[in-house]
Amino acid sequence: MQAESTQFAAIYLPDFFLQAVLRAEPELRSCPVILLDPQQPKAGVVQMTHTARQAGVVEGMTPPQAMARCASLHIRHRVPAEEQAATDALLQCAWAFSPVVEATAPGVCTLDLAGLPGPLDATWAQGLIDQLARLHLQARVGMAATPDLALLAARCARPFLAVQDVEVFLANLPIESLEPGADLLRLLRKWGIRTAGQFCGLGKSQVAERLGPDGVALWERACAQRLRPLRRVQPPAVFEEAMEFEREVESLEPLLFVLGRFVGQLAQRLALAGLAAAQLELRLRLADGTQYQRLFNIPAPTTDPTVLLRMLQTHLETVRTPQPITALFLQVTPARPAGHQLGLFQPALRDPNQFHETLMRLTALLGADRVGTPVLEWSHRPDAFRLQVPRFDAAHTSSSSAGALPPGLSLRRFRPPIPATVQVRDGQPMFLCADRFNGPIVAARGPWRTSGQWWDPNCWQRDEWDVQTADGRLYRLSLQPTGWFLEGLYD
Amino acid sequence: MVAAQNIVQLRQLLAQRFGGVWSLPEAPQPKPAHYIATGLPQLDEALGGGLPKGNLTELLCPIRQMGSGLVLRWLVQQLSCRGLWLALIDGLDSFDPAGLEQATLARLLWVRCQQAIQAIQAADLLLRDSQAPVVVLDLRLNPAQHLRAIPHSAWYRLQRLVDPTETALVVLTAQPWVSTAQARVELGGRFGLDALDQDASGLLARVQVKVLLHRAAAQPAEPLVAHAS
Repeated sequence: MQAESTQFAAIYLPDFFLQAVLRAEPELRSCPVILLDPQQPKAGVVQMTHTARQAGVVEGMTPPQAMARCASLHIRHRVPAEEQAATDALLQCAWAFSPVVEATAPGVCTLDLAGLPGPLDATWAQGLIDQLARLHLQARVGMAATPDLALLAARCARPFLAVQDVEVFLANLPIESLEPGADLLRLLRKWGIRTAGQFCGLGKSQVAERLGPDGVALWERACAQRLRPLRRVQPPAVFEEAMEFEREVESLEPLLFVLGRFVGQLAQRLALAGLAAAQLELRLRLADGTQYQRLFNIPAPTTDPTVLLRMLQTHLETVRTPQPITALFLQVTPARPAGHQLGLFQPALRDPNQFHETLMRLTALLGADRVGTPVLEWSHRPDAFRLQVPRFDAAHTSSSSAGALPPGLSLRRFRPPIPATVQVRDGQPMFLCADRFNGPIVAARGPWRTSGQWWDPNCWQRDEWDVQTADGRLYRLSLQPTGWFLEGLYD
Repeated sequence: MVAAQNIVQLRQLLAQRFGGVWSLPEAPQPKPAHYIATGLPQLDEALGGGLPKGNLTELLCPIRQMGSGLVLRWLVQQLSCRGLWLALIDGLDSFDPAGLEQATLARLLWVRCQQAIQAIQAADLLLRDSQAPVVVLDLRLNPAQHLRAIPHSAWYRLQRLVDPTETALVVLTAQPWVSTAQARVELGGRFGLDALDQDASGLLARVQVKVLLHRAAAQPAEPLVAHAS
């Protein structure tokens, strides 16, 4: 059973903006990295890694100042798309643990634990922290009776803290944890106020009289006694990862490296939500500002990162962009994972995704119009068909007319038809001269006159003959306005 | 001969030294026969029950004979009726789907190649996928000089790929090209213009089948371990 005092949990991601950027480059976590905000007029250090701080870098420094302190410094910039992806990942992870989640602030979310099956203890919190670590997010978790108190606990947690006794907790909570303004903090230090407990002891009316609205707001934050309702948010309909490259990407290998990480992250996020990827949307922003976009439909929704990455790789191996790539976006449209029942008498595809990939490879090898299932066009034009994507996993109804082949031999078509020279006597072809045969025609039947689409520039008209040549073979000949053609061979 | 004796001696030595640990692989046992019946009595009889799964079968139709296209259509139709699908790798893009029912065509994956080497690459991809019950590689109209350019290793690779699968690989040729074929069957007949009006099943009955090679019927080679012991 959970204690009555722990009804809310807050997840706090310290240095959130930096974490959002380093999710795509987790190997930089142990390196000195500073984060700049390009939106601010004076570019100063916004956040930094622990290594950079140890090297003497502090917030507000300009990049040259920071570089003077640490020569091996990595400089990164805030990227709103990456922050949004990190926020989505945080919330999706939170939804895996509680249905009521509030996006409290950037890098902070609050969970309502009421009604959840217990025990909601350190093990539970560690599971949450581990799950976020798999998404490359370092989190701290605080649990308390009110949302604000849980957030205060999360800020102090290393990495987990449950507030059992509020007075003891506040008595030991440094006043800096409440993040007061610099002037207010200086004033409070002059007064000898060191902890949140001491500040709460001043009383709300006294604080309001001496410090005004800012002081009251800080006092309410410090006491954190108010049980406010959570501003509940709904899970997003799509899952997205994004990255803006520091240097333009010109080859496939670095792109696949990042995509591999993205796919892994997205697969984990989908698995947390009990969903699978039904559609992938790949967007590449090019150096000239244009975008390359490609949509991948996944026949059998899956969370297997290998399958997803292979699908992207197969396509990207055939892509040549006119400009180098500056940013990468990968969006997943989720769906419920479909159960797959192999047929007892009609074997379905064992692995529709693998088959889809094979089709893509065949298409890359031969061309888009050369692989598929033939569909006959509603036309009398000879050889009128189109190819469509095969659906062998769909239920198949057997044809009732088993064995009902059309009469006659099968025609093997020459595509394109082979130009021929034909000698005609009394309206009958008598001699054939073509690439495949040169000799007399011993028997002929025809002509069969067909035409169509007279209203169209692509109108067609032909006389067709079936002929037997001296070597015993059967051909189909056609006489068109442009001349004689060998259409095919009967076999 | 000297080299062969040396190998035998080396095997004997290894068998004596590491008899308990080291053993030569046993000769491959013939796989239990699994077939996909074609529905053509003469062809099924010639192949011992139908197209063998996990094996490569070469159907040879000489240049002056006819019937391979008809047999191919029959295969598409028959497999579709049984809910199976067929991958047709068309070596010279010559298949004509006209006349077949749409329900039949819906169970056909048509891979339209323009060169023999493309067809081999497509077969490689489809066999690696190993989900097609039957793969037909139609090289009958491909020029002989193009087929001659296919390295023998390609046929070995296809045999290796199809071996562990449940796929039946059929290669349609005009001459015997496939050195690794498990069975090679010559089929064909001679037809006149009147055949174009005749019933297809009657024409199929006139297609003659002759077995040129059937490795499954041959005696398995003696196991290597017999020489070593």
